[in-house]
Amino acid sequence: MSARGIATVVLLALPALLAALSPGAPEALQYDRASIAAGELWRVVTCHWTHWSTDHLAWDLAAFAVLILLAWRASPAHTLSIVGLAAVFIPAAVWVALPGLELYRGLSGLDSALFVYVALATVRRELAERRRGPTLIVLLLLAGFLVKVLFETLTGATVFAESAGYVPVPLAHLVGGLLGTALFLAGGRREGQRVQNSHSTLNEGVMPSQ
Amino acid sequence: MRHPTRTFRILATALLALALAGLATPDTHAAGLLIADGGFGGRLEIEEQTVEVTINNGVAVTTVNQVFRNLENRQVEALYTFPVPKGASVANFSMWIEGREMVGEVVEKKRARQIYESYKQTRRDPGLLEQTDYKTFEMRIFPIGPRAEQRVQISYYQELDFDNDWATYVYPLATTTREAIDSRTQGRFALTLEVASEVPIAQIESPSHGGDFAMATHTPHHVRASLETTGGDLNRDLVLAYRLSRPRTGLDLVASMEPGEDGYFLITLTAGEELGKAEDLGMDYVFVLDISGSMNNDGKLGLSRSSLDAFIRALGADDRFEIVTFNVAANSLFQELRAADAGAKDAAVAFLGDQRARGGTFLEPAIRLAYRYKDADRALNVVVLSDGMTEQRERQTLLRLIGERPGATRVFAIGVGNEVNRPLLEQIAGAAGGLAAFVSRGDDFERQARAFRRKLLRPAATNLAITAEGGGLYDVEPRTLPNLYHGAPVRMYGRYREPGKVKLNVRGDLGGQVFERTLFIDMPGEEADNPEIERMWAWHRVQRMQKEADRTGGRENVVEEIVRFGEAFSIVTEYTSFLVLENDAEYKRWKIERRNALRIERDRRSQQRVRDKLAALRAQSADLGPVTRADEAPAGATPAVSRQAPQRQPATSSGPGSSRGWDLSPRGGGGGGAIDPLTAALVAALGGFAWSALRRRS
Repeated sequence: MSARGIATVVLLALPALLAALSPGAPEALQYDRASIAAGELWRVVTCHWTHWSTDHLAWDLAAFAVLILLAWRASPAHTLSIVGLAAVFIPAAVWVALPGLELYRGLSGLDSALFVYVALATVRRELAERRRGPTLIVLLLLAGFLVKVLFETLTGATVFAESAGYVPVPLAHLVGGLLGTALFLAGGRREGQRVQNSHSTLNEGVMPSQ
Repeated sequence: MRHPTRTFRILATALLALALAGLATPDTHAAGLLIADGGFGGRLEIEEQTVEVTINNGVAVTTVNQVFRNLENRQVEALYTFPVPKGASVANFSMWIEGREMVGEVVEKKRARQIYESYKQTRRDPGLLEQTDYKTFEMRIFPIGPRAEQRVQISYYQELDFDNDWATYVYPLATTTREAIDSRTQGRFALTLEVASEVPIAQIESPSHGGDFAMATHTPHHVRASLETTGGDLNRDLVLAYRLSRPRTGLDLVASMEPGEDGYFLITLTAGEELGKAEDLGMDYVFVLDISGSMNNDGKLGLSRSSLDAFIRALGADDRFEIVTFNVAANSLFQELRAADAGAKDAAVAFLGDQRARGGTFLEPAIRLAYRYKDADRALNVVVLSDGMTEQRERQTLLRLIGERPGATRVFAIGVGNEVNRPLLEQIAGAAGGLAAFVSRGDDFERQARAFRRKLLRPAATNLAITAEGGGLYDVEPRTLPNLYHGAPVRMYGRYREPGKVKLNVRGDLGGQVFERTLFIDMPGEEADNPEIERMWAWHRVQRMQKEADRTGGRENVVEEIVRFGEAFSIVTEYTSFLVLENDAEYKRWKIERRNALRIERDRRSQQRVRDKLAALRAQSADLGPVTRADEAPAGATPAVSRQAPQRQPATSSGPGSSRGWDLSPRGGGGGGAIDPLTAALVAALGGFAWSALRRRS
């Protein structure tokens, strides 16, 4: 892992910790429909780095750190694109589709986008190496995630009991997942070629010794 | 030396006077005690009593119209003593003089009495209404001519108690304290009650007079109940209860603002059904029962037994309990905390049945004994059932003792009967992180017990704070918000300078986690439909001033301020009284401003508007056809028929009063992107594979 990658993880994760530790910060930074309508547009982006509780923060942040590390290693440019676009598109979708939702906080929408991106990137890599077993398992993990999000989105129910003080918003996960897929596909051809080339190079490097 | 015959004559005259005074049997009636006071006494009766109650978003305005008749062939002075329910503030007193209504004015108590006495000597028409203690009011009217009738009107405002979403309204009738009195009304008694609520009304019933009331649910936001009797037996309190159903946690706002003046607001914070899920892990209870002599009055010991039976029956298998009784000394049933199994419950019921009320009241030893039952690993609830007649000198000690309670101990006070010392019990409960409840004859004890136990189990939120940005909010009452219990809303009164958008931040501890919500509410620029909240704000302020003064040792410093508030807002306090004079000229003569006359005019206009809106709602619902007619049922319990979906946020007003509601609940108001354990497991597994793939690539 490069120093730049670690710095990126720290830079992206640290605001969530700072927001949690600063009194009044979550209220000033959260998605607040009325405040956004009144012109406080920064909330659209900053809301992801605010949380309802320590538990909420711990789970979201741990997943975020792991996924950022993995995504960065796969593609630094795509990682930044995913975080940037998901940070805007998820609240936009919430605004349009959930007019009754006044407040929103949490990194898990971004986590979802990164999860799907990392999963697809891993599948591609495993496929390139013709490793069917791991490919299948990762696909199953991806399918499990999608089934859970679809179930929650369609039924309005949650697989796990809702947490005190807030309820999960499956729409954020769904939109995040779709964005992760879209960005994977958008960068797919070039990245696929790169992986293929890398795989060929590796093979070429190995071949002479055989 | 005085002549013996003359002395005998004087003595005989005095004896005759005493005998005549004794013969003048006090005529007592429902809802108070009416006697002909002074001189030779006399016979009086209440010919007619009509009560109109309008409950607008939990604030009840009770207007009592009474017609007294003098049964003597001479002038008498009528003295009518009546109690008002918990938290009630007398807000108007009118008399009809020569067929014309004269509205009273609030005047400093001593001055009002002096003016009244000065008129008595000239045999003109004054009326005086004063507060004799925290719960009792006295009305004096002089003169009532031979065989003449006198019409009076009294209005009082009160906030209703909410227990587990049930709001209870009590019209006190079981207040007679003398034996062998006739508690049947002589004439007509009628009570009409209209409930208007922004939060949908799910059910209404009368635990005391179920079959006697006719009830109609016109819309989910408007219910009407009425009872009428002639010469009926009314020796039980009239109790009406209605249940609200607020699906989500939220705020409701009621405001009042006159042009050119600062406004008043009432914010009600209600825990919604989503906060109702709590695990019952069992708790410890020590029930402290007052068996002092005062509990003999009005069947209070019996009332306590019934309540306590119901509380004990409602305990769960994991609960433990003990009963401590006290009068001059404390005594306990088990001498240990006993698991609430059937055997222990039966033993408790038998023990309670053996108790007799006698002796003085010394609560402190009983509370000290109760604290000894605290186990390190379990929460202890001390539930005190008393009429709260503790000696004044014990107050400070008692409050200190409560301040020294062990950790994780709460003290809950249940006031029994209408004579209960409410301020003391509320002070006890407030100081101990608990709350006070009051039971009355006619209450549904089982429902009360279930509701109370639910509250014991869980405050929905603690350390509540509501802060505002914008609007110029000030003079908020109470200054520290109490805990929010499921089904028992928290009310916050205050004033505001600027209409428009106000940003409210609601913060509290919810199951160990911080609960925080921000929302924007709209403070209206002009609002004339809710003037009652102005008086309720002033009443709360006066109550707080009195409590603070009691705590710090003396009221001398606050009396002037209380009088100022009483006169400005027309509320009777321990230091202000209502005085009715014969005409406007007499008020001018005494330099008494007609503030209440103006206020009453405004209040009546507003109440008329509310009644008009309710009538419109009734007409509207009648147009809908058979469903409404089916709702009309002379039954004890009337389930409300919902024609509308639960309110969305912000809620538009569906009731007659002008109020607005905002959901604070997570589903409606606050969401979050959440990584649950399943997603975390998926992430972890994916992480493993992805890392492995990336390492191979490296």
